[in-house]
Amino acid sequence: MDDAALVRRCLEGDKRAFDELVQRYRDRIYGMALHLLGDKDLAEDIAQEAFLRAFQRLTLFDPNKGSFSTWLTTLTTRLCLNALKRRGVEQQWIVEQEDETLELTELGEDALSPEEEWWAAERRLVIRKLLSTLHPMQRAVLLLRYGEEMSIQEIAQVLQVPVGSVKAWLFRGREVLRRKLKEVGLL
Amino acid sequence: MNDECTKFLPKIHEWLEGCADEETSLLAQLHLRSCYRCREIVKEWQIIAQEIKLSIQIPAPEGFEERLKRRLNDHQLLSWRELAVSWSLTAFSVAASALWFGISLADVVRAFPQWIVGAISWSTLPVQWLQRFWDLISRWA
Ligand SMILES: [Zn+2]
Repeated sequence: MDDAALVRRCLEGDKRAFDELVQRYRDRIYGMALHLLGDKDLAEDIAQEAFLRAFQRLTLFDPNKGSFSTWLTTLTTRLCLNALKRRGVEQQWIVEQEDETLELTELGEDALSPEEEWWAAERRLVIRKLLSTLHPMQRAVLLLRYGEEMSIQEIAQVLQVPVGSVKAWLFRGREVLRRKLKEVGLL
Repeated sequence: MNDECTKFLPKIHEWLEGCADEETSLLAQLHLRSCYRCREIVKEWQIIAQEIKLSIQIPAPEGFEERLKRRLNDHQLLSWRELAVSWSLTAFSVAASALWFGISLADVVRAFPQWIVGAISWSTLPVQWLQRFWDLISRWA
């Protein structure tokens, strides 16, 4: 069943439909929040807040204007950026090595040799660390563009900034990542 | 990377992201065709994009759904409580208004006959004036 159908069922009072939506997007929304906030407890709190608000405002979701996934990601991103503003500081995300390796293998790679898999996992780990050092807006733009596959225009709407800023953050963010990965020999 | 590449990379980026105008797209493609270094950079950008796509999902902590359900229930309970308070307040204000309006209505009903008499006497005033005017004219004539 597609997301729009699940939303319709939710609005008809079927609570299991909402559970299904949570299950579908839980890891993506939590991942987005963790990437943006760099704090596991806060990321869980904000991810739950995003689902809670989605549930409360489900009548406002219009499938003709965009997908449920984009709507939920927009909610999450705005909540994260507000949380960062409230904190007033950008926190660095200290990645717990053992934990992360476990999560990366769970994500899986298509037919890679063990050595290639190790390199890919290592690179992803470094990218996550590097992402956490970028300015929150640069990080948000990279995650929305490549993680969520949103268009530049959509991202500008989510972040409520001009399209030109999104283009610039995207270019600079990707270049910073590329140069740093080159420096450590992972590209 | 030479100066020309530095100048062309933002254009190539715009073209790849699908937000370049016709001229920029053309320039970007022409440069890419002739520059091995920039082609390599594009490949590296693509790897980064792919890696970000793969790392966006992070397994949520255990018990995430249960905690969310608890929050949803608490919230719904709170909403019901808020709704109950709001209903009680509305009922109270309606009762108070009705009481106040009831008293006023009684006053209105009680004063009604006097109003009627007053209204009738006011409505006959022009006739009375006309009568007096006619008398005055007849006497003078
Ligand atoms: Zn070049």
